Amino acid sequence: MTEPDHDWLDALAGRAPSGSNRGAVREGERLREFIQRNVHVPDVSVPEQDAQREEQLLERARREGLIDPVELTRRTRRPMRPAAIRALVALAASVAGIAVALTVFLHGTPRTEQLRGPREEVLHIQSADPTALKMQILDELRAAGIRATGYEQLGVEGIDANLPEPVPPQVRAVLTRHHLNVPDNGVLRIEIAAPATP
Amino acid sequence: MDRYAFMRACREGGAAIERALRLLDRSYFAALLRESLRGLHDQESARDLVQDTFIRVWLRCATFQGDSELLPWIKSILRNALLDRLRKTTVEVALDCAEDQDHDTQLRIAELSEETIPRPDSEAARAQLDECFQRCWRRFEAASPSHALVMAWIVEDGLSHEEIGELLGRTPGATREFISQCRKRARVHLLEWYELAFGTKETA
Repeated sequence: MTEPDHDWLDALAGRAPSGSNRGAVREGERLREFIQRNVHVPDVSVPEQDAQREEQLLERARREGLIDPVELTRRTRRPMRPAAIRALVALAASVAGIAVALTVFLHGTPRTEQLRGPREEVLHIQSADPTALKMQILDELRAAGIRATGYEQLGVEGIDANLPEPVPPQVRAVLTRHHLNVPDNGVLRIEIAAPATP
Repeated sequence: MDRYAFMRACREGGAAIERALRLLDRSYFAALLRESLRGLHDQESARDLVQDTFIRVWLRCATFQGDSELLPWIKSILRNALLDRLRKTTVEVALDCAEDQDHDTQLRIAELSEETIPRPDSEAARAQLDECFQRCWRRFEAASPSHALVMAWIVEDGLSHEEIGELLGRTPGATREFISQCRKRARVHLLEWYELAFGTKETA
């Protein structure tokens, strides 16, 4: 940007220009005058409160992991009898077992973001592009207000961060999106590696 | 919605988020929809962008320091998302000023001064200039939507170079180039208005 461009920007923004290019200043002032008079925010009228709109927003928040669906279900549905719960748990376990068996049978090793176990201190993920996934998780954690550090060691990409207590919902949402458990001790350690090639 | 209530809900999470999302929707949906329609010109896409903005607001709520009002902060998130969406969905035509402006017009614009700007002395001439500007601006919005939008925001909110950089998510150098492009593109797409407003053609 040249000095005339600076003057033009100042005049367009309604500020006193820092330079002395009168032509650029006049051009910016004239544009400002016409934009103010002729360019307007569209005039649309929508109800302040709209139940359907709010439900759509909450549904999206649930999908993003911002709101705990279990919590909402508990408040909106009648409690189930213990026998029914046991039957449902058994059914869910069977379905999950079949799904895992099918995945292993059809694809061998899952390609991305496989969580190995919550009891380990380090959360392990597999990804076809570990560097890209590390950068993505780092960006998301930082956008959620966490000071996370990324590193690379012996071909393994890693992320370290200390989480505040209680863990904010937007941080939980980031971890949920990547199928990561929230650490109990507030210390987040993630290692991302590419799947081993046969 | 009160900014302190917003920050409290962000800290608490759980059911507080649900209440806060409802409140955000009631407080700001209309204003954000209007802002969104400015760039998207389509109700459905504009509504979707507003909803997307509310989600982004929550994902970033920990970064809100409470030193400004809530709406400007939310608006900047929406504007950022709007520019992102425009970048993905529109192809802005590369610019070559020399091909679009004749030599006299370029010289005239370059030599602008107080003395060379004619002031319309009748209501009819002023109305003609306004009508011409509106027509040219619509062309500008269609051809270079992000440049036209940012120029309108500069006028509306007096954005500084740094604020424009934040909005665009660009380095200072890339922001300078963007601003320079705004000026060049405005000259091309508003050419007809420039000719009338800066005296290369006579108003009726």
